[in-house]
Amino acid sequence: MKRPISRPSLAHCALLGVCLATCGPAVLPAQQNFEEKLLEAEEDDSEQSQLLEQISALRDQPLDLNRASKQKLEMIPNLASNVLDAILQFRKEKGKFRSVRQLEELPEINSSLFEYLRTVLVVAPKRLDAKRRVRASWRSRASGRRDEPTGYQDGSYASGSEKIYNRGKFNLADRVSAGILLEKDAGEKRLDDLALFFVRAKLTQGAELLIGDFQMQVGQGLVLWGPYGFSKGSNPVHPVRKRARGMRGYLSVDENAALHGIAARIAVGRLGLHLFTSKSSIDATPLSEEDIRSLGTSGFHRNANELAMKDVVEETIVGGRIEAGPFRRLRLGATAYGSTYSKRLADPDFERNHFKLRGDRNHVAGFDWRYEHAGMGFFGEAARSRSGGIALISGATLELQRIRLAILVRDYQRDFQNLHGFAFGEQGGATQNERGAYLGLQFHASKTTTVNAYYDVYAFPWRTYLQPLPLHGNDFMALLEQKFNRDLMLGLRVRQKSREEVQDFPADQAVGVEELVVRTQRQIRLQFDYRLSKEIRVRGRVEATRITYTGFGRDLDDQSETGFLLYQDLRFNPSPKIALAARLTFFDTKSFDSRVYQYENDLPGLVTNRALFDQGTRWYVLLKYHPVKSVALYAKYSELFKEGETTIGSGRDAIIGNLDRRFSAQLDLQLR
Amino acid sequence: MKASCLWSPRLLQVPDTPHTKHPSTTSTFWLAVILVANFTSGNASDLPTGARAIAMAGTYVALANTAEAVFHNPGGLNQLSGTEVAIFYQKPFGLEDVNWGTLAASVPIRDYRASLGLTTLSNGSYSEQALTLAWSQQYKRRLYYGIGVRYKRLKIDGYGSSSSVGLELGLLMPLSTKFSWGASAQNVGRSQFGSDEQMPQILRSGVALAATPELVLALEIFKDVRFDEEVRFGVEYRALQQLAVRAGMANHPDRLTAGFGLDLKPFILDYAFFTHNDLGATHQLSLTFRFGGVRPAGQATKSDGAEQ
Repeated sequence: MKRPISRPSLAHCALLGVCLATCGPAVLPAQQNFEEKLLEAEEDDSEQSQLLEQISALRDQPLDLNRASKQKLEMIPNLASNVLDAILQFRKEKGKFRSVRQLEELPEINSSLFEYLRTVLVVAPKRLDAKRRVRASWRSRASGRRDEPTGYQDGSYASGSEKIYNRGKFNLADRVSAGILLEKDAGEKRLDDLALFFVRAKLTQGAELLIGDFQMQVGQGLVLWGPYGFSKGSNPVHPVRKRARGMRGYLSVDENAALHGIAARIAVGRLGLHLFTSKSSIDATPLSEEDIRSLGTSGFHRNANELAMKDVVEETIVGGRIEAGPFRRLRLGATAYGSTYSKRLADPDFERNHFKLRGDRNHVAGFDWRYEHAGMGFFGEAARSRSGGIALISGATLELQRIRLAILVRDYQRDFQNLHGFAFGEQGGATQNERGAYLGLQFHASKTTTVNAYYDVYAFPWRTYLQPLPLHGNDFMALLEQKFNRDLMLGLRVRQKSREEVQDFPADQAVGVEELVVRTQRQIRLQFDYRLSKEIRVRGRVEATRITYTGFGRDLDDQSETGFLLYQDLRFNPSPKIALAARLTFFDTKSFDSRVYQYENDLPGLVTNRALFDQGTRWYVLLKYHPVKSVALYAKYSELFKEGETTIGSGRDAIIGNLDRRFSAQLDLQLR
Repeated sequence: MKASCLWSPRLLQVPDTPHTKHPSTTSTFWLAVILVANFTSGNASDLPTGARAIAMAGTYVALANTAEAVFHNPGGLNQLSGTEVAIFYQKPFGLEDVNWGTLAASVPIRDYRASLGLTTLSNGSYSEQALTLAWSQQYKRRLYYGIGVRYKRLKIDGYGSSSSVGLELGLLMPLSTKFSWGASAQNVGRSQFGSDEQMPQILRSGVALAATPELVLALEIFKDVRFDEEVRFGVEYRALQQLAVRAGMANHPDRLTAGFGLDLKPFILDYAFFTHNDLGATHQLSLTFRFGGVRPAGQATKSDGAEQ
């Protein structure tokens, strides 16, 4: 049944009209581009609040250029070590910076880097009285859909499509901090379906205690890491230089990744000791009273089936870490944890999941190293799991005035089993069954020209869940950025991803033979960014994708297809209190296979990387209003229109009609 | 992906929709094909307009400095300084009885500009008219923008009539002294036409470069949501003070265009033709009355031969 399509929807036209004739970022452009380059690699819609947090926390609370410690400055994303050394050297020789502008005097800092650094660094007139400083923030977000998928209407799910998120954070003089998060996904009944909290206190100079939900980020992520990390993106060097942040309160919406218990950190001289214990309930697919098939990751609890999988298994973890350093410039660390499960992991699928963790216990131990000197850095981690499988990651960076180079090799054995790692690779952080070598380059050819490129060659030495054979692949990206003047920048990006695949093409179904082919995805993107005035910024992008299949001894030209995207983006900051962003996108792809992605501005804390496929248009408007310093209001409205379709999506998530309209609003309160 | 509307081989497929009264002659047959193809796909609003634009393969979104820009990019209109009126006429593929014509007018009102565009496509039994009203403005000579409303009505004898209202937006920016960029969106609100047919939604984005004072190069991407994206390239060379020659090429479907412009102040006469692989050549003319000049967005438009 075709749903009647609404008439001109003049209200929307007018709204968009106003925005196009006026529109702007909630964020400074330099910052914005930087975020996009890091996060667009994630090819799905996710709420990587934690990744963004790291970046936006700095924006909300810039570091003091003169007083921040080296460790703090190191946490600034994408700050090359030679730049860091130059800042420290300047402070050593000249005492302090009079203003952030003085950074421009350093030969290591070019204008675009300066534009970025001025958003995360300040020169404070005097040391802020940290002892009495109280900071508190609250965030409430609600989102919904005007075109609800059938599952929300026919009672398949416990509630409608509205999604509600509440989060509070508190910090007293950097000695005590606490946080709480409550979230209800679309279709879930309880507002506290996901509930997380933590309290962290600095007991004495070298001792800290954390109670509640937490994560451990150590080394390169082979033993312990949170649920998110950067992967390959348009920024070729930053994702490689991983900076572990130790124990942290956990307020992410990834529902099954938090550790829940107590963690402590004690530091004595050059030695640091972490100890932690966790007991958390995890969703799982039950097999029998004592056995489970797999640990659940979706986190949805929308109906009886999904609720039956909630908190089925209990995981108990005890672990610790010793850190030593710096010895000159060398830092070493050793980490280990052991876990037990209240039910046995017993996936019966030995064919596809041969090396999956089975049984009711596991342990992983590893050691990591980092050495930095004169623009050079060496780092790595090696780990071994209870099964005897070993994982190794080792890299080096070279950061000079105009060139940044990163090399990384990884070898995660097929029987290395770890449910708590997240490391660089092709499999969304999974640290199993992958070998690869990565080379990244950032080259400032001149003041106005920058070249970014990476090349990654990898293999899965054992079959994966979907593919029945060991496979090889490679991935190449090059981005040329040319600044024509202060206001105009042009970017040209090419990317080629090739990977072997076993396919059985529809045409061959009668024969029923699967064959090994190489799937190659070529993308070309041309983009320009233009700052029209202090208030207005525009961007245009055109992108084309071509997918081809190469068979062995057979012509597969008829399987190739193309995708296309064209968008215009406008941002308008008429005053510090108001910002508007709007975009109109046209896309056209033959099928989902040649889909195109666009990274969108969204409410703070949300990352939207939308896959667009078939023929259609999409537009959105994002509004920010900052009535007083401590209050910020955000709202977003978006429409996706698919030409000639009668449904969008499938199953319970199918929308009847060819429109998907969504809205969301957020309130941020800040006390400081 | 489907192929493009009027320009497309799809026109060769005999559609199974209403026939006109006299299916006997070839021309009427083609007319039926064109009209029905356009009718079933919404309407004919994406028929090419303006002889200067057509001669440059339609690369007009970043130039848009005549009254006919009301059909391409209302943002560009504010580059005009005086009153301008333009008439355009085309006989698609030389078909008898088919007439495609437009009238565009633009007047300054204080710092703003109001423009009007009328289009008419007709044959004995079929007629389609559209009226566009546009409002254009500029911001610090760095951003030219415009908003238009298009009302369209079509009528087929024996089948009744239908109408629709759509919204259009346009932007034009001089990025440097030689380089300008333009973008426009048609029917952003997705109005529908008839009972359940969408009016076409179009997004265009393009650049124009004044390589020398005499030579303008333009590149544009034209995307109708229903069809393959077109990449268009156009050139204009001012050979003499009063004569400009133009050429262009575009894909989906592949076509070549050419034309010239004669500046006989205050009249400007533009001629263009384009070829279609299957349907042959089309000739068209525009006559422009210009009272005033062009205040170009950057240098890019200063060199627009016959426009000066």
